[in-house]
Amino acid sequence: MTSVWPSIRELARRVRGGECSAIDTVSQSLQRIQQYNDEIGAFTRVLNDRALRQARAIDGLIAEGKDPGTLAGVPFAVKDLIDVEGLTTTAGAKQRIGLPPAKNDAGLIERLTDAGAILVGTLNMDEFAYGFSTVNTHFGTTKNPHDLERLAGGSSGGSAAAVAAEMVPFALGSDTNGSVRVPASLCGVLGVRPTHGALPMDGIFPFIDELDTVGGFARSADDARLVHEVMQGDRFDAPDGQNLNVGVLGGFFRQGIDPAVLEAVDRVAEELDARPVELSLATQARSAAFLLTSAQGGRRHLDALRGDPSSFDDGTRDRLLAGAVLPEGTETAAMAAAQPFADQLAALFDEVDVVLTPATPVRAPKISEQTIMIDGEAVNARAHLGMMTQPFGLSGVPALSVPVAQPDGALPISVQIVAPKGQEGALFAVAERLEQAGVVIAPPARGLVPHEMRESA
Amino acid sequence: MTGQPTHRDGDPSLARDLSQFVFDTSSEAVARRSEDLALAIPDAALEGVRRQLSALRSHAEAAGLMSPDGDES
Repeated sequence: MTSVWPSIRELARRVRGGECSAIDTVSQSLQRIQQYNDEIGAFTRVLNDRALRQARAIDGLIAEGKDPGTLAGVPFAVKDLIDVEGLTTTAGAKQRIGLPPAKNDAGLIERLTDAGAILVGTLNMDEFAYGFSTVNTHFGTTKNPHDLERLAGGSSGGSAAAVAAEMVPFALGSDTNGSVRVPASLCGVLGVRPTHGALPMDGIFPFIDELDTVGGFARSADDARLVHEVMQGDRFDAPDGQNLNVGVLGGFFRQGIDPAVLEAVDRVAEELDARPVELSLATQARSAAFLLTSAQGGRRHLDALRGDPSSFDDGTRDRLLAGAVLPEGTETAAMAAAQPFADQLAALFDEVDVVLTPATPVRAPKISEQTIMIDGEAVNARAHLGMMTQPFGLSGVPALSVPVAQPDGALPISVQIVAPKGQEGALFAVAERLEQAGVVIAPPARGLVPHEMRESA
Repeated sequence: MTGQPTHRDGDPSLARDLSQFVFDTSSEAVARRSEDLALAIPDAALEGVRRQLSALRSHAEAAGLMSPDGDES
């Protein structure tokens, strides 16, 4: 099966070289959204007029012999907590509909559009980014393009699904406790959590200040790297992926994990000649992130909880209320409780350049499934999808979820690569090495039926 | 300005003294905290909030903020 899009670098080269126009690329994206979005539920708003207007402007620049930028004519979309000029930023919440629209694009959208990328829409998410499922009472459930009965993951599920279904070559999401890496894993695309604080957060609806990041979803390491470099405004020093020392985490990171997921981790570890390493405080760090998220989330939404708690999805309301009534000082205590793990991780990075873990403990669960099995125990599926990503949040380190090659038709499985702060280049270098070896690949989404064929069936 | 919340700088590496912190989510403590915050928990949310608090107690224990026998630290 051929990919819909060439690499982002190649697509922009074709637009800049006049082999195709920006109008062509945007039209292809809009057509793909029209064909598949009603089935998948990734987009909440499609910006036809804005996208076509910008495409005409880029084609005009090229006609004048000017260079529209590194991402010339490349369509993209953003999670609906990122400000888009003229639109209300809903953050996936019914209660925000009708609030005044954003007066400007978020800084990251400006950087991407300044480089020639074209925004085509906003994407579905868990309400206020509090969840790992993208099951949203008001905006609907985003379905996994690999199996429409399964979760896309969350909270940036619309972003992951839009890239997995090739409606856009790349998308932006936000990652607080795993909200890029989890849906990227379940949908079989690459998902970047940058170093905390590395990218500007103006115009991003906040969830947890100490954990929030914005990252890209893409279908190859080079695409992910290119988008990240444009957002960061700088090129990375690219280490040689062949010479990196890699560790594969045991202990907590192997307990109760689906054997097929562990097999994928082992395959990646073998390819990278990784050695077993341990981080004994991962459970403590995960729980600390859980507590900080609950307490700060509750505090942030206190006014709305006082005023009209029924304006939230029931599940969000209950989590936020519980967080609000936690003892004063919980946020500070949780951050302090995470520090020993951060120290342990920093010490480990004196020995290895990156570490590997599963990205999620299981493949995408069915939307109807409330529980998954972890260590022989049935646990809440949606709360535990982030158990591999959560421990790293308060350490501030960057991480990348990469899909591991699977037999035809099998659901995606992904591995998480984690690097020291500021070392995103190492993540991309390792992912590129794995792609070259055929171990990492974003699989085509099978079984998608175009809108017109469903209509005529 | 869009009139919406904005990010402040977080400080993930800040270590603080935990000796004075008490993680108390007993019903009395929750009632006191709700009253302090002028926050009423609606009946429809009671069961869900109870379930969440139970999970949070387990996380507090795992994070070392509460001893395994339930005593707050």
